[in-house]
Parts: sequence; structure tokens; C-alpha cells
Amino acid sequence: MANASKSFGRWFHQLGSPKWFYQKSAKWLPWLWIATAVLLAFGLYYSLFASPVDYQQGNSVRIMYIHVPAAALSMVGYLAMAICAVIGMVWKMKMSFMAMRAIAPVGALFTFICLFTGSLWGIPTWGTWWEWDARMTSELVLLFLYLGFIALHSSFNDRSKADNAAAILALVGAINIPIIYGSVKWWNTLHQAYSVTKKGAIAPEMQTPLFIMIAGFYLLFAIMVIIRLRLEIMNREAKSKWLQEVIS
Amino acid sequence: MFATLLKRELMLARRNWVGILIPLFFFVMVVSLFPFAVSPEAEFLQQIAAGVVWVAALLSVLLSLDMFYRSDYQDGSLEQLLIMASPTQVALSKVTAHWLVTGLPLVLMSPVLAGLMHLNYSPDANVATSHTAVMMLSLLLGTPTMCLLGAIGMSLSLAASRNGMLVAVMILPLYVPILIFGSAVITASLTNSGYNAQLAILGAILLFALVLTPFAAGRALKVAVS
Amino acid sequence: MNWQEFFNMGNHGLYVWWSYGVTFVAIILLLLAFSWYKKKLLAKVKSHAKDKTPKARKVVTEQITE
Repeated sequence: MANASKSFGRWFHQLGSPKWFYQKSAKWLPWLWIATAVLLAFGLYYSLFASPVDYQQGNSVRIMYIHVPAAALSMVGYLAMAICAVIGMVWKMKMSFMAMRAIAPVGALFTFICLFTGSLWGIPTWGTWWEWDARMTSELVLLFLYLGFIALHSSFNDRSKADNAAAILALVGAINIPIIYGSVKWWNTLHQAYSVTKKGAIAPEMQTPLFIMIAGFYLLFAIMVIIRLRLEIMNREAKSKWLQEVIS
Repeated sequence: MFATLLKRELMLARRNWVGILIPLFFFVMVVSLFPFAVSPEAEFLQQIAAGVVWVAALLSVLLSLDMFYRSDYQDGSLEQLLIMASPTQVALSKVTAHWLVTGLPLVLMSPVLAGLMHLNYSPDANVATSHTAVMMLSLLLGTPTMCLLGAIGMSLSLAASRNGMLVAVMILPLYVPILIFGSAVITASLTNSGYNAQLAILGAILLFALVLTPFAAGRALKVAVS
Repeated sequence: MNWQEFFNMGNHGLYVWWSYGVTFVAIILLLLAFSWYKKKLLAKVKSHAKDKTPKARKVVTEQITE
């Protein structure tokens, strides 16, 4: 047990070193790309060909296989950003702040994908591309939060100030998300004009491709964050010797 | 210490009394534009009054933030204050002063706007309605929360840029819950259904914000001067 | 099932293909933005690597060679 916690401690310590991460992640990336490609190839095959047509929604249900993973990651991404913010503020780990900054654009992208596909799904199912549905509205607010975070972080000249200020904003946003979701949901039930199709228990033939797609999207998200994080390391360690040696 | 800080903020505000009146003018002007833009009919204006007054109040709180933080940051007195007292105290004193100087006057001024928007209109002239009083109550509970959240946004952007839009972009998403419940209170009053629950939630959000936001704002102020 | 039917997707093809297409394009665009940023950063790191001599010494060596 003590040994396990010791090795975890070492791993955590290594993760905090930009040099270690930059060199190791170069080796991880090809494998991650292969795993993602396999998962997404299977997932796309299932979601576009081999999965059944919904008896109510027809083929438009196929949008679900990218909409749901994107929605999940948009929220997981914000949570991860907030966790990085806490770690960075408490233990002053610079890698944590770099990771926080790296997650933001990727999270915003997945939020956008979630909103866009949701709108397109809405046209055949609800008859409109925008519905002030609780989930959709919260997702829009989430996109605003991501954009506010990026706007704040990039308007500082001083990097450490940018990190600390943006971390506070990420935390405040994370505490607010449940409140926003709750209030929008309450507001929506008050105003609801359309009855949104109730999604019952999902059929197993749809569940498998959905899980594969969720796994694929998670890996894709991780890859994109790692790529962005490597860039962030390049940006911040431009003056350090090890990086200049690795690059040349 | 808190009293001293508050006194200082209020004294600075009194010296800059024109700056304090501007958000109030803004509040009145924004609301008075709506009849021109939509329709001066009482029944129609009454329908949108809640939303219009709330959005206008929100914007004027947001626009008045600058004068409570910017000059202190620029002339270095913020640094002195943070040496003198804890960051939480400094943040709280600024929020309190900001609310006393803009929030409270907004609440007191809102009946005039309710009149402009025909909030108390009723088809039967003999029936007196209490919508205006309800609106004042909702603003009384909502404006402090706006000041508290605005303090975080303003403190975060102090060292970043002079662009007031940045504060708006960061903070407006966080204003969604109070906007929803604030205007819901008035809508509930208009439809003669109970509004106690919505008022209670507004109060709960205020208390929650009162506990947490001064810490966040104080920390943000410290980051700004570090 | 022929290809025509597959692309049409029971008149929902437009929505489905647009969803998948825009998702794909958006991801590619962000990756392109990253690679564009990488080029900029590579130049930055290289310029730092070249500029290793402290400024004072540079002036002195220049004077000597003159």
C-alpha cells in the first residue's frame, strides 16, 4: 500500500514537470491516435450504418452519436478545468495551470459541437432549430463561460496573473453551473410550450455504438488537450535549454 | 476596520457624485427607450416591464463597477488597502459601498420606471395592484447579488485590460439565475400567482453569494496587485 | 439498401450529414489552428536558442572584431 502511494506520488511529481511531460507525451500521442482512430472507425460504422432507426425520430437519431459525447465532454472539460484551477492555486503547480489553459479551447469546441448538432437535431424532431430547453440553454451559457475564460486569460500581459485570475473565474463558473442549470430548468418548465419527445430507456443496439463513440470522443478530447498542452509548454519554456535541445 | 474602509469608499463616492448619478440616468434612459422601440400601449408594456427593468438594472450595475475599482487600482491605493486589511474585507467594503451608492438608488428609483412601463396597469381602474412593490422587493434582493458577482469580474479584469466588455462577457452568464428568478417574481405577481417561492430563492442566492463571493473577489484583488 | 437511400436517410440526411460534417470540419480547424500556432512557437524557441550570448559580451566581441 505504502509502495503504491509512493509510486503514485512519484508519478504525480513527474506529471508536474513540463520537461517530463513534453518528452513522454510525444511517445503517447501515436498510440492514442491509433486507439482513437479504431474506436471512431467502429463508432462511425455503427452510428451511420449498423444501428437501428428510431421508430419515432427516424434516421435523425444518428445525430445522437456525436451530440451526446460532445455534451458529456463539454461538461467534463469544464470540471477538469476547475480541478486544474484548484490544484494550481493550492499547490502552485505550473503544469496544472498550463493544463487548465489547454483544456479551454478544446472544451469550447466540444460545447460548440454539442450546440450545433443539437440545433440540427431539433429541426426534424422539435420543428425548430432553437428551443429554450433547459439543457440547450445551459449548454449555451457553458459556451459563454468558456469564451469568458479564454477572453480573460488572453487579456493579461503577465502570465502568472493570467493563470491565477482565470483560475478564480473557472472555479466561480464551476460553482455556478449547477445553479444555472437548476434555474434554467425551473424557468423552462414554467414556459414550456412544446413537449419535447421523452427519451425513454435507450435500446441496447443504440447503447453499444453510443458507448464506443463516447470512448472515442474522450480519447480525441485527450489528444487535443495534450497537443495544446505541448504548445503551452513550448510557449512558456521557450527560453529553457532542454526544449531548445529537443527541438533542434 | 470594515467601517473605516466603508467610510472611505463612501467618501470617495460622494466626491464623485456626478459619476454616481450616471448609472441612474442610464437606468432611466434605457427603460424609456422601450416604448419607442416596441409600443406605448399599456397592456403591452406591462407584459415586458419585468424583463426590461431587470435587464436595465443589471446593465447599470455592471457599468457602474468601473469607478469603484479602477481608480484605486491605478493610483496604487488598492495596494495600500490590501496591506492594511484582509482582501475579503476590502472586497466586501467595496461591494457594500457600490450597492449603497448604485444598487439602493436603483431600487428606490424603480417605481418611476414601473410607472413608465405601466406595470400597475389594470383594465379595471378601481382595482389597485401591488406589482410595483413586488418589483422593488425583487430588486432589493437581486441588486446586492449583482454587485457581489460584479466585484469578482471587475477585480479579475483590473490588471487585464481597460475594456469594459471583458467584465460583461465574464459576468453576464453568471447573472442568468438572478435574472430568471427576479423577473419571475414580477411575472408571478402579474398573473396573481404566488411569488414567495421565487423571492425566497432570490434571497437564498444572495446569502450564498454573500458567503462565497467576497473571498473570491478578495483573492482576485490580490492577484491584480501582486 | 443502395447508396442513394443511405445518403438520403429517409429525408433526414441533410441534418445527419451536416452534423457529422460540421463536427469533422470544426475539429480539423482547431487542429489546424494548433499547428499554425506551433509554427509560430517553433520560430520563437529557435530565436531564443540562437540568442544565447549575453548582450554585454556581444557588444564587446563586436568591438574587438572591428
